Amino acid sequence: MFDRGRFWSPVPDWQTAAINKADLTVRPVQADGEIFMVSGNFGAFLAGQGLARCLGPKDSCGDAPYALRLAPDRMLLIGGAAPIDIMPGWQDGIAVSEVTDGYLIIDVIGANAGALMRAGAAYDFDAPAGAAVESAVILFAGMKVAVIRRAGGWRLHVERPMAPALWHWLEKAG
Amino acid sequence: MTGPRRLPEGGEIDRRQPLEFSFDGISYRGFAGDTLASALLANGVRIVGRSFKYHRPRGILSAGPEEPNAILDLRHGPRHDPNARATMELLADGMALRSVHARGTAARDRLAFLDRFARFIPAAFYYKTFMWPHWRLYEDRIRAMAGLGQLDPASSAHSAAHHHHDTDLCVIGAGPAGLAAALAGVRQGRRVLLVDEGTALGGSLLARAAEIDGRAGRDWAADCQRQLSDGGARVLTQATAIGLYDHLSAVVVEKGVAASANGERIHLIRAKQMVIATGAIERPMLFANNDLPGVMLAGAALTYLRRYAVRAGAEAVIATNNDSAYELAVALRAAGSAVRIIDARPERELPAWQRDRIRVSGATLHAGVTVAAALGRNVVEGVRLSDGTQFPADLVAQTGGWTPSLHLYCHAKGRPLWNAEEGAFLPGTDLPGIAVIGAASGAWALDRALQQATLSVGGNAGDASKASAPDERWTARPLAASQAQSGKARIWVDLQNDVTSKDIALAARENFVSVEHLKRYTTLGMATDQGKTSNINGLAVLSAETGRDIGAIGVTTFRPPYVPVSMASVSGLERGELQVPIRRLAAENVHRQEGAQFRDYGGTLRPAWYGADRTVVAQECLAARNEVVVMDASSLGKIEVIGPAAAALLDFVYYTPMSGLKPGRLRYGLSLTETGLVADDGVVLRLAPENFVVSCSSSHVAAMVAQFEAWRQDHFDLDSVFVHDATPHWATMAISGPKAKAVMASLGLGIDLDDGKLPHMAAAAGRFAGRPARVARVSFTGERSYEISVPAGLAADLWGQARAAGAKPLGIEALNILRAEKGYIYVGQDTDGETMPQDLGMTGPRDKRQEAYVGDRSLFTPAAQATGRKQLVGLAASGRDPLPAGANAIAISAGRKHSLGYVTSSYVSPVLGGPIALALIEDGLSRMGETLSFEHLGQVSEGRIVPTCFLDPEGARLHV
Repeated sequence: MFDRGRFWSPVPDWQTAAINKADLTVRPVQADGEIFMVSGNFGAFLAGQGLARCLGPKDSCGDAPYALRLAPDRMLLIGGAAPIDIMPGWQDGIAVSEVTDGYLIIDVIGANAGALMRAGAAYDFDAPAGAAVESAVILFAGMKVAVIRRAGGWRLHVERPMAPALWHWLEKAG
Repeated sequence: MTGPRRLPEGGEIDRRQPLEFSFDGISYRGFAGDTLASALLANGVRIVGRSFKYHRPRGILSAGPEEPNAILDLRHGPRHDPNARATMELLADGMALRSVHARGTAARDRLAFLDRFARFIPAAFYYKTFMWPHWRLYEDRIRAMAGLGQLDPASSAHSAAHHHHDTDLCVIGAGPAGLAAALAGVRQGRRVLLVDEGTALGGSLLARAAEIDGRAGRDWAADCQRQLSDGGARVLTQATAIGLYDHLSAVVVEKGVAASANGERIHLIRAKQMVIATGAIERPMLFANNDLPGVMLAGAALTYLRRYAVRAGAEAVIATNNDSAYELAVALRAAGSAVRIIDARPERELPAWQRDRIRVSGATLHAGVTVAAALGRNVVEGVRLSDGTQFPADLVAQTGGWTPSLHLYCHAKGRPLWNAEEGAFLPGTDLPGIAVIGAASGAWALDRALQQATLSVGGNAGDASKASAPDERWTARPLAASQAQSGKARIWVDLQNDVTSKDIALAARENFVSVEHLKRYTTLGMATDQGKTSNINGLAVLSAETGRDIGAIGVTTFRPPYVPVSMASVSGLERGELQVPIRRLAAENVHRQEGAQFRDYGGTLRPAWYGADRTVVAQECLAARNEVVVMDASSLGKIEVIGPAAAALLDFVYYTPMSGLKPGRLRYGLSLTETGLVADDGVVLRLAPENFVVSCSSSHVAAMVAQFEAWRQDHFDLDSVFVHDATPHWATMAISGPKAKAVMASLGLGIDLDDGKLPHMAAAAGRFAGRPARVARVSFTGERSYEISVPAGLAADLWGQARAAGAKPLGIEALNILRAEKGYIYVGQDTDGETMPQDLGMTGPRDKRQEAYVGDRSLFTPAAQATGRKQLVGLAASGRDPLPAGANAIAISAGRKHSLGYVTSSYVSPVLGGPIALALIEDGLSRMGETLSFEHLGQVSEGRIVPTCFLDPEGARLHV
């Protein structure tokens, strides 16, 4: 039987992987804190974390913590260095699952970052934001990726099992 | 100067950059800025290919995408294009070009003799001849002699990632009308994308004299380009719009992309408004031998002269029925050619200023006559007029009128209407968000086109540029060929598919008079040029033959792509690993280090076995039954269902009720489709009263998440239950075997492993490397087993510790055998599109449950309760060889065979020392002990029906 392991490129070492090209840098981000998927009526919870609202693809994130809108009643909470006072399960009308190891965060930075993003998605990154916050999840390089702006470029959040495929795409398209 | 036809100065070429290339093995020189066609013409190459059917010599007809003849095999570095259009490719140093379809070279084709048999192979000959004794005898040979170009399997030039564009205004075509529209859009502050198939912006302004806003047309175009750039417009050149699609989206293929190995990139465009300014295509005239090399379109000859400094002929005849060719006559005279104009219109219809211009230039005007025939054997050597006059010529530049390029308009479901006065199809219906402007809409006069362009994007008429140009009439009705004048000589209508006017007459005689039938019967318009230069002339011939107006005949349907597109460009980056990306395990690199061989199982790359070849699978099975193994089960679903209604949602989605589970307990269950079919099986763990984890099949995670979410939204209070796919967060290692407990004890998970505290189908919370760990006693091997779930970042560590504790690696192929020994199913392998839970012997929920659940009513239909349903059974093979998976159980009644079912899983069990199998057999559960015959690929085996569980039916090994 042909070993399909030979067909697929090895999984990168996320501690050291980087793509450096003219006016473009792509690198994994080591998360400071935990990541939680939170569903429900979480407005009060967000406020308690000092976060005004969930963010969509046209918003900018600073340092964590920040929350990405996944669905009308679902968010991905990216924690910072300070622990978040939250427990997995059901509490106070919100459902919480820890998904810290489930995502790889990748920064795409540089003057050519926009061209790379437009190669990956049909999403109109340049259109002004509307009144409602969109879901941060778009189809990027054919995969579901949560996207947000950051200083100098964009930040991508991809489910870890698909991260090698996304990385391979970024290497080819960059 | 290079080439006998290159003028010493002029043109857009860069004479400081000479380029070497070859054609059919002969070396030539061109310049940067040349197209392949201009470089060949400059070097005096007149025969560039052989025709499709008759292998007639063919030369360059045009200067654009409508080119039907100059299709070349192009090699340059890694790039291979078996049918490159010479008129649309820029020359590059080192290009190797070959003619396609010639045996030998284009100039000397060994198959040229086929033309002598033309009368035996007219249009549609294959419907009438080459039929006996069977058409397949001839098909391969005919195909081998036909066709254009050959693929090279070794060619590996990939293409680049597609680019996406969102824009307010997309203008397709950067001639004067398109430039004006784009500029007006920029001035309104809109996001503008301008696309043109040429190498420079300007369209007709690049070859024809014009004055706009007091400046030369070329200068005006250059200034437009500057303003567009300053205004932030995006401009794509060498970019052809190949299709217009729903919601104002377009696909464009860009050439000359340095970052792309095949030189191309596809752009996907979404616009709020689309402007089609694609101009018009010049129409050939119909006369005998009009396919000879040296017969070309007049506009093309002017383009080669002005843009590439190539004089296509020294003794030129210009055949025309409109004013557009007169500029060529003057230009060729200025370049030193002898020029005769053959104008079909009587002299009294010609404007005085045109006649004066010709007289001053020194060209000779023949009015009121047409070209009846081109003369020459392999190239044009002369012409004969309709009045019988003959004279020598090495160039026949023809213009029979202009056909608006409405392909994109038609893609968007626009309906063109015939305008007899203009002799052209023009846009008939308006399309929301799409404007057709300029020559494409029949706005021939430059000034009118500029105004129209500005108004089309909402600009003010007063802001439009003003053009001053001679009052020329470019339109003309297509002239039907005069067969009487041509005698036996053929008049070519579709050059690429070798269709003559006689073929069209033949189609009419045989009653193929609908334009759709004409097209399919003769293949008119079916070649890669899509009839760009032949459709209207074909309609004119059919009109003459049938007495019907062209408008009544109509046109066939234009479909994308407008020009051929390579499959490499269509795929972009989506090839190889990126064609169907696969999920990867967090510990994959550790498995590679252990010598695993991998396979795609349900969309995840997983170890099939650990070793050089398949022989190790038996050892892995024995290790699982006699010692202890560790398997990476991380791809198993971990779907969290959370909230006060979580139990109710699970009870609704699952056939097996789950609400009775106590926290810390697990239950195996099936989920069904609404039609009662088995959709998935899995294990549900209750973590807390309002928190469940569903461990479904690896390949069904996305489907189960969607199923839960759909029913949640449809059937439940949205604030009462939520579904989270936490599968990527958790890595799961399964420890299995008689010595599993000892390995578990060594891992330091901080849980009490006493069977009283952690019985089979129970779970406990622990910690590993300082982070949460979940341990579930659940088994897919039938041995004592523990599934340890830890955050994925710890997967490699957990695997390593289990291995260090003595667990041997277990791959999927061994697991397949172990689970089959226990009769555990794979949904989708041991179930099919008819399998219901009762077919697997699971009738309890159907018989006992009262409340509604997905698929409930379907379980009580007559078909669901009928006898003769396929039921899952085990099979014991009569011999030592395993029954082939897929083999059908055969019964014979009334002398005819029919299938009773088939083998679903089949293995050689190293533990049991022989073959085992599972099968779906009609009334299988009632046939215990019966022996059936199984057929597969002509071989017959026997198998006896036995229970599905071959090993330890009491389940004692779970507690060893």
